[in-house]
Amino acid sequence: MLRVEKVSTFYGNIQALRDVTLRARRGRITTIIGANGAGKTTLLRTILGLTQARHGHVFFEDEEITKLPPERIVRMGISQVPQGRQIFSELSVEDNLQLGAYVRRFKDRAEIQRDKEFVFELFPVLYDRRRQTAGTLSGGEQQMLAIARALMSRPKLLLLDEPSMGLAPKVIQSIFKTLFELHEKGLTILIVEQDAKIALEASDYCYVMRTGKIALEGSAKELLENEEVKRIYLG
Amino acid sequence: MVLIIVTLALKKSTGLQWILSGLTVGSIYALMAMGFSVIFSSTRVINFAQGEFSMLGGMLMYTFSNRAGIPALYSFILSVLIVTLIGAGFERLVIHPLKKPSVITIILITIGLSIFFRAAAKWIWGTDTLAIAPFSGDKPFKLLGATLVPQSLWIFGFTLLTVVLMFIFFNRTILGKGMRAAAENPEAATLVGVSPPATSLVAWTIAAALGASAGIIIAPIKFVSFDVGVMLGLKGFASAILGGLGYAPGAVVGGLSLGVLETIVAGVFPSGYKDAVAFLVLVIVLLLRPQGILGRQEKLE
Repeated sequence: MLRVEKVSTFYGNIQALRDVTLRARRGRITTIIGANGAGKTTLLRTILGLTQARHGHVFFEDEEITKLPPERIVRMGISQVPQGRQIFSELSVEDNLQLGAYVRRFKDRAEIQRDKEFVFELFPVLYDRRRQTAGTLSGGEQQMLAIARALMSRPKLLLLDEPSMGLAPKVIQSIFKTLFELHEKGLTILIVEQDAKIALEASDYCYVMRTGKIALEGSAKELLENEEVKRIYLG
Repeated sequence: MVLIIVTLALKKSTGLQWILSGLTVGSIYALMAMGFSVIFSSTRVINFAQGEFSMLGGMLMYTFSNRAGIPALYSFILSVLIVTLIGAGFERLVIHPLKKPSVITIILITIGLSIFFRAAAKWIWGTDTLAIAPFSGDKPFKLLGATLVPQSLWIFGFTLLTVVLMFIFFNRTILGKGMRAAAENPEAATLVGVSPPATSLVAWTIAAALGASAGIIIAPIKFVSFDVGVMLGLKGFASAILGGLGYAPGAVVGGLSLGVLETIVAGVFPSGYKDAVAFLVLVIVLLLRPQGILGRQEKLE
């Protein structure tokens, strides 16, 4: 569904990605693990067009999206849950969700309403807090809102950047449970995660990034047994 | 607020007179300040040509209603429409084509634009001070012991209507909410599909319309000439800073406060000091409370 081919990205003269090639297959959960500064976030930014790739190509459903602006890419069906959640803290929970459906604003009002009800079912706590300003939510609730907002654009592919960051284990569990539910319903998911254990247990296929390159890849089972992964990432 | 009460207590009818006159000009400042706010919050740019939008509005109004004899209402709509198109066209033709311009570049461009508009106005309309007839007669009337001209009521009414419309736009429409989202977190807004170029265009369009209407409705009271934009712009800017830049309710509070303050100072001190008030306020606010009366502290990351 998503193909990244030999992508190199620079910040000024500093190279953040080196010939990165990866795939996120339809209907699978793919994860990218790696230490801080390995280039995981840059990779997601490059996929979405927030940062331009200097070399290489990104394809989504066989269409090249390398040079498209982010809002076009979102409209094509990729949605991101950004690192640090980045919800609109001064707007209400409901407004945040409505903005999630911004790309569909001119059509199917009824469908947007249905999708809203769907995410409320997924995260009942958001329904209870729908009129509250998003900034007043707890960290876990904000993460749920960020996911719910991303779902409101009806993505075919959902990108998540460090969904577990700063959250209690129990909250992380419940969020991943929801991600599995979405996966069962057919959503393709690509997760960037520093916590290798969570990531490997959650995924079908996994890439390991190191200093801007893909260092290793394989099915989650293979990587869980890989000595190097065990030593460096699973401790 | 305190100032208003003190003034009222000291001199009842004169005080009220000052306050009502102050609210009249204050409404204009509020409209100007909203223009600054809307562009600032979506693009982080101070548009120094904001005052020239008002000047152009006033000048066009003069041409249409006094010269061409078109009825005031149609002249008003026509003038606002033309200035709005100029504002939108400027954004599309000059700012939009720039690839990732720095904020300072755009600010310099808006300064250049304001100089250009002023020179063009001088060339077209000359340097005379021009008078525009009030919208509905100029017979003053009494209100609670204070004297008011009917134009003041137009100004109050129009400002109130504008504030309500802005509130509805930013709180009830998806486009307005998108603009607020973009103001708060541009990158997250991009991620839900709010496109920055579109936001910028809408902001410039609204600002130009606000500026033009402010310039037109004040013209019957203050006259219009090629250089009125400078002062109106600076007062509007000071009001925006006073109320809290980038925050619409702040613009209204800042504008009204500055208007009243200015009129009271003009009443107590020689009126020549009036214009200094705005700048004194600007300096004091920037020193003591840079986020303005209602503004929140900018989050630095």
